[in-house]
Amino acid sequence: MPARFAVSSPRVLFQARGLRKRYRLGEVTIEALRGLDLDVDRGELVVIAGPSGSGKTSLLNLLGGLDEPDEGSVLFAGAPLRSLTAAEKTRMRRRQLGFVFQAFNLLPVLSAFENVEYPLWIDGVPREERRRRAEEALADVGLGDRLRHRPDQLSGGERQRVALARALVHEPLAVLADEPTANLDSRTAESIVDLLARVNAERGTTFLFATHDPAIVDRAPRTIRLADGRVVDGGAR
Amino acid sequence: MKFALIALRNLARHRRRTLLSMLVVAAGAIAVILTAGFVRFSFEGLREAIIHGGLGHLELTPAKTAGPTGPDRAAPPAFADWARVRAAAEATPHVLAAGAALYLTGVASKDDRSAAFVGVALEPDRERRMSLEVKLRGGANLSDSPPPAGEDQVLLGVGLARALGASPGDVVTVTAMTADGTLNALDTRVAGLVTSGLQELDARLLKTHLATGQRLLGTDRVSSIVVGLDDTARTEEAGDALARRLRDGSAEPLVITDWRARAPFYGQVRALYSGIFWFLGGIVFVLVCLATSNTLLMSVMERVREFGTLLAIGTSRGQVALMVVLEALWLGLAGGLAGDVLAALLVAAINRAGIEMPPPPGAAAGFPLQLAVRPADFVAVVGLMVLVLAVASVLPALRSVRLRIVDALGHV
Amino acid sequence: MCDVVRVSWAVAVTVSLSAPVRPSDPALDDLLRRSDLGALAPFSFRSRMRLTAGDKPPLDIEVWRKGESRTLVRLLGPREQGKYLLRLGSDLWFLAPGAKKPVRLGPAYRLRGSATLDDVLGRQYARDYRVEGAADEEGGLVALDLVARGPGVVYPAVRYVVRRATFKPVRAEYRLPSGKVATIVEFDQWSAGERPYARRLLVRDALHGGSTTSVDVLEVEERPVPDGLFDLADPAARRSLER
Repeated sequence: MPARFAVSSPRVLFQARGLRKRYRLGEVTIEALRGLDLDVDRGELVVIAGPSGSGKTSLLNLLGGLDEPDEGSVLFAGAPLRSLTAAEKTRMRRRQLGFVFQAFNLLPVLSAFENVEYPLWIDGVPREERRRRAEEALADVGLGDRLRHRPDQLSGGERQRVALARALVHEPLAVLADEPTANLDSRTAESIVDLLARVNAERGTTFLFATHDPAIVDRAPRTIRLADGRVVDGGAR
Repeated sequence: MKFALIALRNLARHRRRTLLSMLVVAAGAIAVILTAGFVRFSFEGLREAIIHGGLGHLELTPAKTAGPTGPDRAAPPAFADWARVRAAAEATPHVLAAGAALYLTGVASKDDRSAAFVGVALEPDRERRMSLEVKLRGGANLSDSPPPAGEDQVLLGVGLARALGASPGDVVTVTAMTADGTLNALDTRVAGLVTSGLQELDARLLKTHLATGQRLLGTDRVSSIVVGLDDTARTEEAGDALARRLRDGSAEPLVITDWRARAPFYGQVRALYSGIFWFLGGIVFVLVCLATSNTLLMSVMERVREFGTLLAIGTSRGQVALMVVLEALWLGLAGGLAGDVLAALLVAAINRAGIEMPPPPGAAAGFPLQLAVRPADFVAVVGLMVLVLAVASVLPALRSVRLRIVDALGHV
Repeated sequence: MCDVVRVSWAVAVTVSLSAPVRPSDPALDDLLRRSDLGALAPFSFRSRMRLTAGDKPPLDIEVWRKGESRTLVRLLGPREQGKYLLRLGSDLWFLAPGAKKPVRLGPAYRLRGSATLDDVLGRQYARDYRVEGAADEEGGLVALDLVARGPGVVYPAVRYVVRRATFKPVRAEYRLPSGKVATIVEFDQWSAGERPYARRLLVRDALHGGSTTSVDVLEVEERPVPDGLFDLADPAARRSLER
């Protein structure tokens, strides 16, 4: 198996080969991914499109090390995820990945600033640096004046910006965003996508962006289309 | 410390539930403090009743008539050098006074009725200085000065007086074996009726002046010297000081027995009450543990997606578990402190109410309830409640640790 | 007390029922009568005795007796001045200078050590007991098994060992209702004369470690005894003894 990765270029950030994932729902077994291959280079902004149940979330979970494939492998920055211990995966997610979720998933008891500061704090970044970087991250997403607000005092768009700031504050290699605009109105969704595109352009952060919103898909530089757990378009270049 | 803050804020998030949990913890804390106060009140009450009921803190007995619980009461009095020892004892720090005791057994009779008695001849003025109390139930105490021959007085236990049909002012003939082993009898006037607090003893109790006792037994010796201290906590210290002082200048070897050795049933009562206390404490522990564990678990289950997010963005499982445990510890701390405040109010109210407790088994009279709580109790109970909650958080914490991230993120 | 009597009576009945029933042997009855110290004592006499037990100072007593039922014991010695034991029938009273009224004592009251007044003065064997059996012992001795004729005696059974040739008692073993031996009295050093008496009695407590009290009979004087000495209420006659 590793032999297949030996040829992987240092440019490639994510490389998936033969990914299979099954779930059991009571008596029924659902095949979420049925042998999926994928390459994503560093600095790419990739939209993963497909209808509900096509396997977008499962794919992001496997790429982010949140779940294990039944078959196949994922290589992240040249390292096979399967070979990492749980602690190493945790550290990888903490330092090299950012996550954005459809429902924002902010800690309701923390302010916007504290939510953004959190990844730095669990990574042991000193207080002053934490403060500076969290404030910058929030300013970057246009929320420099909302530091002390709790999530329930923010609008949906503002919350997702906070979530984005949290995903970016530690300067990860890649951000995995699962339907980040699904809970937002189209204008807000568009502003979020603008923001992602800007960060991608300015910092070269890789984005994998699952959505079924055609408006967003149309704007993407690269789109990988999934159907029934397989890549139907754009998997490998 | 961030996790502690997050835990605290999480508690604040569900005020009602947190308040209820705190109440459960507080109730447990109150139960423990009140029980501790009651048990200690019982210990201290019993201890002081034993000591001030006539036992004194220490008893000095000549070695040849000393047993493990003080002088052998059946042996003839053997203490010849007692006046000098008494003076030495009274010069020892923390000693209020020391008084001679002469133990008597025999038969008391009035008209055609007679009853066996267990008696002690003592020095009433010194007893008073030792703050050994005489619980009079009629008549008057013995006079301080040694009565001249023919004017001997006795105090009778209420039960003994009843058996003899004797009242204060009546003449009762006391018969006892003399130190030489022959019989002697003495007419005495009943000065008063007393109670020891124990019915069994009251049926046989007789007290008289040392001079009368010595006259009856035909001796100038005594059985022992009883020593009263200004503070029960100083018993050991005073005993050691007394031993040193007596070793320096005593002719006859003496044995010093403290009140605890002389009242072995105190140890038994203490063991029994301690057992009850720990049993109750155990029940409180389990109840609080079960109740709060359930609430904590509920709180974890409600926040599964939150925990999933925390794990996804790089929080370790240990840190997640810590957050749950910290919530529990806060709850224990807050509930324990609330319990402290409520318990303090309750203790004050109960102690002010002067609730009369029924007589304990074998005792002749009830006593007012005064819960004896100490500052350390309030500290300890908070510690205990934090510990209870730590135990209660084990299961919820394990639950949070075992979450699968993808399932947790998908949890609604 | 009542219970003890009832029990002892019950045991006595049981003993008498379980023993082989046979007509009383006139020879044994005669042996008992002729060796019965209590019955053989003079009608009235004065006696002086010394009781010694353990490490206590010896107790000297003076005994005044008139008939079977009246005995006055005067305690001698500087500390015992004015103290008397007065035996009237089965009642035993103690009189002390410090007490105006006499104090009633139980019949088992011990003068000194293990010796009761009856141990010292002897019992009325022929009157109070019946011979239930006899066995020869070595050295010309006969052991008579005596059973109380009725309730009211302290010991329901006695083994009374006498020398067949001289009718002098050697030993008496007093038994409790349980059958246990409580006290053993040995008679020793017989006096000469018409009414011989043992000059020394050894009273051994068989229940409590076998401590022995020795009773030395220092003097026996057969003489008339004034009735006033036995007056419970009036101490006048007794006071005359103190002078």
